[in-house]
Amino acid sequence: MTLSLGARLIITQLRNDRSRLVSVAIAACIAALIVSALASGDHVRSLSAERAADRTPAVASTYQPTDTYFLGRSEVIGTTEIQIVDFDPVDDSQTSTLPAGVAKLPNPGTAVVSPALAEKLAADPTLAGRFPEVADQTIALEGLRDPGELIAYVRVPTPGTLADDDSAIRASAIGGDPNSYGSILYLDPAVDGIAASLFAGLLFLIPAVLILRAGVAARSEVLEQRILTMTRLGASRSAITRLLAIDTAVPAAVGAIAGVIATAIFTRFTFTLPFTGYRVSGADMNVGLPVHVLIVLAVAAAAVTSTLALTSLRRRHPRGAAQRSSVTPVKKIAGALSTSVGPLLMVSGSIVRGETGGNLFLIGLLCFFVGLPKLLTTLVTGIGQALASRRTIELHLAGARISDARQRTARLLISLVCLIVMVSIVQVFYTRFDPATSPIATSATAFDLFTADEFSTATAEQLLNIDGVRAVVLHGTEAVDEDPTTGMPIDNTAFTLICPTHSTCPTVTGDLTLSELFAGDVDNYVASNITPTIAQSLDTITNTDLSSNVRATMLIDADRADQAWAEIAGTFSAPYFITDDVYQVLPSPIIGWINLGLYSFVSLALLSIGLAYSAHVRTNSERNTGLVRLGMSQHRLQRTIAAEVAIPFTAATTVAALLSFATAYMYAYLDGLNAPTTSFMTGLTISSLGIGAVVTFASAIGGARSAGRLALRND
Amino acid sequence: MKLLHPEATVTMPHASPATQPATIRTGLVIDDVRISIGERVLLDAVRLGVSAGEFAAVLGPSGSGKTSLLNAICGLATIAKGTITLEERRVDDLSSKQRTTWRLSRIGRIDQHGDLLPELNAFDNVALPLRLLGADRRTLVKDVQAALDTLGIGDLGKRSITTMSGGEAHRVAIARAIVTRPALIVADEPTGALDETTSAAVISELRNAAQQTAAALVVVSHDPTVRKAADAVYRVDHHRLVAE
Repeated sequence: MTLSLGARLIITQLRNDRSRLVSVAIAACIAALIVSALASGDHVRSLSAERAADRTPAVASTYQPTDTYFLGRSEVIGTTEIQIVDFDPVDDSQTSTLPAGVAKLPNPGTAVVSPALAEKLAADPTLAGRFPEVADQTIALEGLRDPGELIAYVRVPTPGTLADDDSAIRASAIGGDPNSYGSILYLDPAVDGIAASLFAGLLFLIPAVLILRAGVAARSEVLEQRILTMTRLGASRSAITRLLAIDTAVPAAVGAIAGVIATAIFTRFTFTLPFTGYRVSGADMNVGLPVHVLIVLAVAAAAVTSTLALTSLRRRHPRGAAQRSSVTPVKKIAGALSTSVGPLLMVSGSIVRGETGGNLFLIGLLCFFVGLPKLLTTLVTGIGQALASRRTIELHLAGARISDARQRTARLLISLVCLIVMVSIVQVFYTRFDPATSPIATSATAFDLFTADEFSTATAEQLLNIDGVRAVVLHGTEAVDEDPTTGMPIDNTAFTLICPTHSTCPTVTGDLTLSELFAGDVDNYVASNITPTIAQSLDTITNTDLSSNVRATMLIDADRADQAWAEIAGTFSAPYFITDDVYQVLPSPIIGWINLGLYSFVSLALLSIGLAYSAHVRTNSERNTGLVRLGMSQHRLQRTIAAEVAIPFTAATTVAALLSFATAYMYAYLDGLNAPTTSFMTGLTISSLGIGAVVTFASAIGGARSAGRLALRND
Repeated sequence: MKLLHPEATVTMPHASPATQPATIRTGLVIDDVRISIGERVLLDAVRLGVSAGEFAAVLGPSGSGKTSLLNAICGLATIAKGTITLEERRVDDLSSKQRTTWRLSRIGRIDQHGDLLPELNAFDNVALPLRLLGADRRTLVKDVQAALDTLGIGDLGKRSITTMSGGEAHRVAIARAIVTRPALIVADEPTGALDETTSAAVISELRNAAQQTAAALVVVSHDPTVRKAADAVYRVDHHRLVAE
């Protein structure tokens, strides 16, 4: 019966209240579209990362006849850039190290190409001319970064050719470190670029959720009237709840399905991600029906949750302080916390367990932000009721008003909490580029390597003048030495990558002597080629350099603590990193998009705080005026206003700080990033409390003065 | 009750001679008061005397200065000239802090919508002045219950204001006005939103409450019901207070 009534009401609205109904559907569509797109992007990212790891050759530690030499290069033909990996088995009869995705050893001089490249070769005679002999097999999916990748494995025509090439890598197996030789053999896997794009998109998720809530709220006037009518007719609370759920769930679900379908259509095509140059195929973006269903359910649930809050309108006014619920505020707060944070933690657990959690993480994040209003509303109510029971008149009045205006108060605080949480998450993300906010704790060794991005020549020369800095190596691909252990050629980049993980590196003691590591030649190389005239030793920066992870290295006598070196290096306005982790520079447009999203979000949040605060003041002015007329002193009124502003503000800031810590550290852990420092988080919290103090002060002074003026209002 | 304007005719049965305002020892005495906003004079040469237990109605069009007069009586607005005395104590020369305390303890005020706090129930609304005065719990409960009983709403203490009818809410407002046993009750359009029957009931209860607590009662209104019930009716006419 409820179903049929709900259906009839929706049909009626389609005629009479079409615009509001459609607004809910559109809002749900946008939210689902963004979540679905983010889920698809995350799917691509995880697949890309997995494949990049799977196909990277493992460098041979001891020579075996089954080894294979690899040498990467790229060719630009017209506007098409093709990655070519030459390979050369040491012994044809015993080869076990075939390139990933290549099923059988092709004949010498034969190329095995990716399906996408095969299509291009078939369509472009000019391109085909560069690959005179193509094997009858194509590279399987597991050997490709993505199905659209243009790559060819070319078996050198003459066996033994690469053995004499210092730039070639001798690999014993497939499955090495993608951050080392993978970046030499292959084009940038751009995993971090995709992650950055996803993050930029994530910033728009919050406004999307707010749009969804606003769309639902736009219908509140209509729904409020209906609730009152039905209440007067005698409808039970559960019946009204069901009607509201149907009323909102249907248009929201329709909109969400439309959003998911739009994404599904979008993912049928292969296209290039902006800024990254990364080609994405529909197959990789397809997250599957179960995830799409989850997204639809999550969006519909979000909309319904927003609507169900309206059921409190049955009682047109909130309970008085003396009519308290049997459920204590503490229980309410605990319940709200568990219901809001629960989904996030549950999804986080899924990710930690190694499941395909990225999609669930996004859905969980949506649930979290949707649940946040409920959490804060309950928190505000609990605080209000607790204060209202106090005998102190200021707290008594403040508590009663907080409890009464819980929705308005919560709205004011939601923006604040979202702002703090988002800023902390962004801060974690930025540690990828600026670990100065979170120095890695490493023990000092005889010398330290500071690897860095984008050292200019001028910066390098300045760094050389610092006491203790022995060399600044700007990376190039020209081989400078050979690793005595592996026989691998050593260029500047390889040197930087090897050193932090090489077993002998930490044991080097005394003055800068690298003979134990690189047969004594690196030190000589540094001395003869770099110090002190670094400008003369610079290699030409090549494309490979640009795609490498690290572009410069400082070799440093480690008499100072890491932090001291960090501070010294920081004065040169160059991002630096203490070695162990390798970071990647993102294209500046992506950073621009992230900043744009962040600034948009911050502006939205601040605007929201301003509007909510304004509404809060307006609402309270009548009460305040009455209190002045009654005989309340200005000071007492100021204290009352201060209490009702400061207490929930402080509580919200505390909750926000806790959530910030939780989300920031969880995000840092999941993505292998540096967590923000405690001082940063403390600073963020204190800053928020400072904002609260200013708002409280302004409210107290302004509110009392305003009340005083209104009390004198003439008839 | 006395209109202390030289031109006014005093016909109240309990009135003191117009020329002897000092004889009103427990009520309100306004003598030659001028109320102005900047250069604009709202009311001038206002003379009014209201004894304890008496009921005076002040009528006038919107913007004529009725509420300003109430604000001046309550110590919310300063006067440009004259004196306001309640219980033989000058109000107009009190400090701001003294006026606040005095207003809280000696004046009960009722506004058009009662100025009740919707977030508080009836009991807590009535208790508000006593809480502000720092009354102990036992006194507070006793006095609040007595005030509610006086208005016949002793069993509605736990009810939310928002679930009450207009008449019930006004009774709560009256109870709040008398809970401190003030010397003066002032009401600003107390029946503005009520129907005739309810208005009559509210005014009757207001008058009874004032008499029971021996408080002077000044009501600003244009409601005919008030006019009928008042002991004396005054009208604001060309910035002057004129007796009808």
